[in-house]
Order: sequence, then C-alpha cells, then structure tokens
Amino acid sequence: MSTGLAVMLLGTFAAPVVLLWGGHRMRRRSRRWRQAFWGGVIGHIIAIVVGTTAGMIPPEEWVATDVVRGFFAFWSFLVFPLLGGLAGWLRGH
Amino acid sequence: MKRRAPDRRHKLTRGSFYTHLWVGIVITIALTVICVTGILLNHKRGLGLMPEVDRDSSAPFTSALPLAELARLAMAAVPSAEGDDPAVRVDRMDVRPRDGLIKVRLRDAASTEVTLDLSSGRVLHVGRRGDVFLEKLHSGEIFGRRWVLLSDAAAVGLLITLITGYWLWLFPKIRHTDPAAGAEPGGGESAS
Repeated sequence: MSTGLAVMLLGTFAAPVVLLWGGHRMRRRSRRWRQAFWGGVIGHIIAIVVGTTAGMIPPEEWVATDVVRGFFAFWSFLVFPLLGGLAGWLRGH
Repeated sequence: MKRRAPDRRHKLTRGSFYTHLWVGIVITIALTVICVTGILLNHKRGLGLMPEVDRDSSAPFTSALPLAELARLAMAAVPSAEGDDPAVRVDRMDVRPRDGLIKVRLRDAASTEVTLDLSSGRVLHVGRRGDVFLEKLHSGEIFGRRWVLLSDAAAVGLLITLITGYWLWLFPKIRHTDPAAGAEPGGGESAS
C-alpha cells in the first residue's frame, strides 16, 4: 500500500471518527476545543468536495509530475481537517 | 415482566441511534464517491463518456473477419510504442452481430475503444472510454482487485444506516401507541 493511499484511508475513515469523538459533550468543552472541532469539520467538508472532484480526473490527464492532483485526491482528506482544526485551535486562543 | 419488552426496545433504540450516527459519519466519503460516480455512470451516454456508433448490419455475420485480423486493424488505428501484440495491447473485444460491428478496447490510460465493421474491418470510430475509470472508482477496483471490499463495506454500512434509521423513525410511533413502553430519556424522539 502506498503512503498516499494509507493517508487517504486515514482521512476517509479515521478523521470522521476523531471528529465525531471530538463533537461529544461540546457544551462542556473549552472554547478552544469547540473552535478546533468546527475548524476540523469545515476542513473535512472542503476536502470531501475538492478531493472527490480531483479523484475523478480521468487517467489520460494524469502526468508523472502531477503533485496537485495527488495532494487533493489523496492527502486533502487528512490534511484539510488537521489544518482546519489547527486554525480553529489557534483562533480560540 | 411487563417492563422487559419496553426496556429492550429502549436499548435497541439507543443502540440504533449510535450505530446510525457512527456508521453514517464513517462511510460519508466512500458513499459520496459511490453516489457521484453512480450518477455519472447512469448518464454515461448523455455525458459522452462512451463512444456510441449507431449502425445497422448490412453484411451477414458469417462474413465476419477473424478476431486476430480485427485486433490488428484496431491496433493499427491507434499507433503505440508498445508494439502490436494483442495479448499486451487489447483489453477486450465486444462483438455485436446484430449491429455488424466489433468494439476493441485497448489497454491504455484512456481505455481507447476502436469500433470496426465486422465484415470489412473498416474503422468506424476511435474514442476514449471515460466510464471505465469511473466504474473502477465506483467499485474501489482502482486501488487494486481486493479493494472492492471497500465498496462492499460502504454498502453494508449504508444498509445498517437504513435499517437503524427506519427503526428510529418507527420507534416513537410504537411508543405512542403502546402505553407499556413509557417515555425514554435520551432515546426515541430525541434520538431521531
């Protein structure tokens, strides 16, 4: 299994589980936690749209140096929620 | 004894709620991809994802050229550096006796399909099969043959979500018509 595929699977299945866990008992959580949660959710929703679209680019348009498509289709599902969560965490300071 | 049935129902409802929630969230992305690719595949002709050649057969099927000759003509229509070995370049050959044509799908990135006249070998159309990639993405096969299990898991997840969702819709109605069931904190209406 390639690193990209492993990251995509983590972003597809593990990231939503972490978000779901993080969303429990929100009223008792700190402001930072809540902001990080919402940042993660927004990041994940953006990743679903962007990643799904990038994943449907037909193979004849792929090139060996296609870093952008690879990033959006494989890495965005994990990176975007992490970035969103981090941004929310910092914003909630 | 009378309390046992409602308790079991309440437990089932709580279990259904959390199963519905967790399974639904976990399979969201997989189902989104399956749904979008499914819609695109349903309209593959309208979207021009597969070449369509409308033609009625003029020659009898008995006058069809040999498969090897048709494969050679198809490969000649799409020159490649990989040579002319049908075992390497040809993915499949789809014979349509009623239409008098054969569709030769090549094993390249675009899944190029060459449509030929069965009896004369004339090239009728050369185009890419965009739906092949979408089909593989739809089934999960794009990552390898074993990855169809990913699609299976999403389908099972959807089934579980449907069943639990149906129960969450049904439970408050049963509760309101059955006085023995009583009110349930955290389940029933609040869960759905």
